[in-house]
Amino acid sequence: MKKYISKRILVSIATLLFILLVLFILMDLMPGSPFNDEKLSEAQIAVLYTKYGLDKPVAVRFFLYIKNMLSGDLGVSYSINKNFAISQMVKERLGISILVGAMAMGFGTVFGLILGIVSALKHNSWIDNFCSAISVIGVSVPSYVCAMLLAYFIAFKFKLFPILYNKSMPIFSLILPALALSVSPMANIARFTRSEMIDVLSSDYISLVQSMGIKDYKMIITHAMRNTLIPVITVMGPILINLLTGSSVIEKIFGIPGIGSLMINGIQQNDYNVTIACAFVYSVMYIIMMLIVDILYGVIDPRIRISKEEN
Amino acid sequence: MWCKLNALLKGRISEMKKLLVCLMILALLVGCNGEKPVKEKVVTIQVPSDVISMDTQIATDGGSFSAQDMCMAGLIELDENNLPVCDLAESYTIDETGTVYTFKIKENAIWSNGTPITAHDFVYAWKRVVNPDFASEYNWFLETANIVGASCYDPESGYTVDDLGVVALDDKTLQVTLTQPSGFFLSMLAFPTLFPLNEEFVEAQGDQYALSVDNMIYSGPWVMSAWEANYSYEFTINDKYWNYENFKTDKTPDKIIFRVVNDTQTALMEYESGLLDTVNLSGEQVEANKEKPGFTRRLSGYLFYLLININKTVGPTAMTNVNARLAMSYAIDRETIATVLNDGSVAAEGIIPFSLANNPETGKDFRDDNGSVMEYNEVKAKEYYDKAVAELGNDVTINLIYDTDQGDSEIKAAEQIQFFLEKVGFTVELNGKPKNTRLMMQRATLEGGKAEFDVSLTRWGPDYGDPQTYMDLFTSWRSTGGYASEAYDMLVKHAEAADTDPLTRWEDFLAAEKVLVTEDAGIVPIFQAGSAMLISPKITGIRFHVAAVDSYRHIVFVD
Amino acid sequence: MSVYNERDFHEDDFLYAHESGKKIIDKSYKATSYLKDVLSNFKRNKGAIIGFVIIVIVILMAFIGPSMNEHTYKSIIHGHECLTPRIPFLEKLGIFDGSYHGQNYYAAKGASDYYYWFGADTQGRDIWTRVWLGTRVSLVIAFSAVVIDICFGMVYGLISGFFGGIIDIVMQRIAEILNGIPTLVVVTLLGLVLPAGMVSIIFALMITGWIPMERIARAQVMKVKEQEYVLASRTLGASRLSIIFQEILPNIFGQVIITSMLSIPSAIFLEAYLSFLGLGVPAPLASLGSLVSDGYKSMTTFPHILAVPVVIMSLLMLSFNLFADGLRDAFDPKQLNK
Repeated sequence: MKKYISKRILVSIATLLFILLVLFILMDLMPGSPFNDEKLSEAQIAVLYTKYGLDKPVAVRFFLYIKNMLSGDLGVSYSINKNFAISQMVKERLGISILVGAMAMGFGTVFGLILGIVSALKHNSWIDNFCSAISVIGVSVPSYVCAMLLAYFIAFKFKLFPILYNKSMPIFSLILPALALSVSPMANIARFTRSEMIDVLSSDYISLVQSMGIKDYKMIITHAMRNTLIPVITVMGPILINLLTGSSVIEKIFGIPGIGSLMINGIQQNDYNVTIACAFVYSVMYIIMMLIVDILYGVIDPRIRISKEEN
Repeated sequence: MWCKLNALLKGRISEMKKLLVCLMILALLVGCNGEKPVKEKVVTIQVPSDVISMDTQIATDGGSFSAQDMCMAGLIELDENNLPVCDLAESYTIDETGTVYTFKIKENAIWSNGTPITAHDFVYAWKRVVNPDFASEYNWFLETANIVGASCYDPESGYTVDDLGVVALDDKTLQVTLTQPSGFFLSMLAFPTLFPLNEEFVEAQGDQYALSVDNMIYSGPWVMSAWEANYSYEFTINDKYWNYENFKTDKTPDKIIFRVVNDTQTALMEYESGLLDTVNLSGEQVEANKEKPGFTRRLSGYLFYLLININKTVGPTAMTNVNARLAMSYAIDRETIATVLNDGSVAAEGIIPFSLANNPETGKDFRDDNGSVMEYNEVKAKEYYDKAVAELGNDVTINLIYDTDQGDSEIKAAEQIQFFLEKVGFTVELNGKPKNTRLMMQRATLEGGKAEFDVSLTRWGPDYGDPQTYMDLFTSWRSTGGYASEAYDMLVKHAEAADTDPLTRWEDFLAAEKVLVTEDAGIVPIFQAGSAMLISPKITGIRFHVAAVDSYRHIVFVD
Repeated sequence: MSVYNERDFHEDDFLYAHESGKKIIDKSYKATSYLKDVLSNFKRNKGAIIGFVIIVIVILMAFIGPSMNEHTYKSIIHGHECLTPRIPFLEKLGIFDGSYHGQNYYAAKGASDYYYWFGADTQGRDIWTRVWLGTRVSLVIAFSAVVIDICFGMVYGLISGFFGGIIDIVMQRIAEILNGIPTLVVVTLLGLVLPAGMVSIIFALMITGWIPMERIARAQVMKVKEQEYVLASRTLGASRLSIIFQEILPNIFGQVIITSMLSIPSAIFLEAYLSFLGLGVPAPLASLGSLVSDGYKSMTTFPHILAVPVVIMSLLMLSFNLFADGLRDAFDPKQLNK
């Protein structure tokens, strides 16, 4: 197992470096500059490029960047908060985004599992169709519409929650954004759980348990859940990453200073360092998530663990 | 472990446990919700984006400048009528040639850390911004102000920083020398780029200067007390301000908070819940809110116009034909476009926006003085179009580029322009691009001779309150768009360099605008951007300036 | 230790089958083809039928809808901004009569002769026409993206899975890298470099859309290539290529179709997200995504501008999901003989 994990980690690092290189090249292709193009002349922009070291070739900048990154320096922002250390910016904003993402994941998982299990148990009844309809609404209405509906009715009309993010009560004011963000993962998890559970419930070992006369739902679910959860966990990884990316829209609506809006601003304002840093952070999280899922997979499903050990 | 989880889900815990969980949740909610703060008199302003830099010589956007204006001060400030009044300056004299200004700085003007504000602070700051090594994006500002030697930011100009025409005669006396008399020089001193900086402090901070609240000292009426990136920035009163005694009254707020909210709908909801005291309205929200108390429309200086690619080096295109251009100009119903935008924008029937400058004798606004130099006339437009088609030999297709990422107004305006032009006979291809791409395309076409577009919906914001800032753009030496007219060049050259009488200068500009817009249709003005806001009736004192930084310094409560 | 409850067994719990006295009748089934089985299975799923019917109706409307009245998708009539829906017969019943907060704006704006079945948008354009055109555009974009995804993804997965070894490792790593770059970054950069239009959106959707497809293809290939009939073909001397296309492809087709049916709604959804960020179809063209993101800005003032495209988009997504679920159930061998 250890050998497998260390090999995966090495491959992941190589992948990350490659992603970074691709990002650097893509940034170079972006038209315009991070500076005030409207009022500056070509010559002045050239001077600014020299000052910030942007006139060096891509390869040189790439190696410099990696060298700096290893000592924790992600460069400075050119056009979002001029001359701010990006590592500081990312650290502050990442915390908030992770909080929202985790809350959204929590809501999504809990409600999604409940919906999925109830649907599966009452397969093909009207409860099933009703729950399915709810979860499909979750994936067919864009998150920004859901967010605005929640903000308008629950926060504004009924005044149950604050409308915007409030630093003095972080968790409370993030409940509504997290709910809005959780609609999509909840729907995905619900549908996935439902289909997996239906499969599992119709399988042989469950029939065995049922034929032994165990009508206790608790017991059936105990046995069924473990097999259902495996694919659900594999799906949760990418969902979590999408949460972190898709949160940019939610962040904009609720005034949350998160990393999603930082990346979007970086792209729109040609702030290379910020965009690369954010994109890289996402890639790192994605690869870590995939690694964790792989390992979890092995832990939960003894069949996979054994087959890997045999190899 | 899963057993317990499922058990919980299925509600098979005892009643006791259920109650405990409910109580815990309730406590959490109450705990997070409680604690009403002490009754501070706070004003909260909505801003759509964060401050980019608090360094007065690095920032380039209005938001940063307004924040800097709160806590820093310069020689001059603009009052509600856009007229310059002394701020840090005690008094000033101008010599007979009109090129040497001598300022006396107030004796009681000190920085927030106690050190006095001296003339040396100004010299240091101004030399810093034009220093080519510093590479400030606003280093051209002093040259526009006509200060001697200010082109030294360009290494090929032949000047060095030491040639800059600013000298500290003594600790409290500053002397500035201009290359020519300038009616708008005083107003430019109200701009943060020309605010003083304390050399000792700034150098001690190194590259951390102005990156946080602890790395700044203040000369203005307010002190920046907090700055959370992309969330909010706050100001409290500066008791070291020279005018603190008169400035602070019982109507002055204890704290002014600027909250960054980008979405117009949640911002409006927040305003209506009483948590924001100002909010910017989008075009869609204006209808429903224009009857509410506190509804304000304000004009900005940004004038949107169609930049026409008349670059003859590319070869004759339809755009080099003056009849085609005139047809375009007459075909557009600017009033209707402004109505559709509905956000406070007004039709622009000339290149100079409203509230920019006033006639030196009569005080009349330039736009009113010259009247409408272009109108909407479909009949005329069709006539010119037919003439153009006859001369060119085929129908005219126009490739129009515009920004897709700067908000709705430009997209709507572009669609409306397409509608009006096509009514008259043109075929218009809309080509939306992100702003940076569009600027790059403009530059490539105009400096490199490639023909990537025919017409670009672009804008210009004034750097100072004088028509020169616009007129200069279309001279053959600035060559924006390839428009070149001897008549126009002559008028503008006179106005900028030769005319000594301000009234003659003014009239030269009036005439130049007519040449540019009415006769040649070198560009097609569309609208002057505005914005609609709701300002809580509880506060007053926000000063909007078309050609300068919006000032929030003087916000006071109404009763 | 057993965690199960102990049961008492009675004498008559177990009986010999032949003593039960029932007649054993052998039911014989008519021999049907695989496809007929799938179809009959599909028909039993009411949700899937409804989904299919809705899809057909929407596609039909997308074709004929825009030409059904006198407005075009870009015809602007000034003064008619933000009018609420007004439908000729229903207005007599008091609903959809063009009133807004109690007032009748049609009369106030001099539009008494006009009928906007779904209302007008913020520039005075007819929403009925625009929304059906938008549906057409969205469907075209989604279908094109998915077709390209299938072709490319399937081929990629087939090659990667079939050949295995170093080819597989390299190809998988490439896919992983592509997946690791946030889609937003790639799409924004594409939007800057390519000319605005449907082609670049399809291209953008395609960039990472093929990866789920190739994963499935590869997984299926690896499962199937160890089967005996493949071994049989190889023993008989069939070339690699013919094995891929004759033995393996038909077996994975079902899964691929189902995945693609599910990809269509996610393509439409992704396009809505891109439109919100300003990377959607160029003005004045409309797509469901751009209509939703435009309508979003008027949500608190004129909700009808948002409601119409959102409802149609949700209906479409719901139908595709039900249809795809039905297909999946229909193809599922475990349910075929129930």
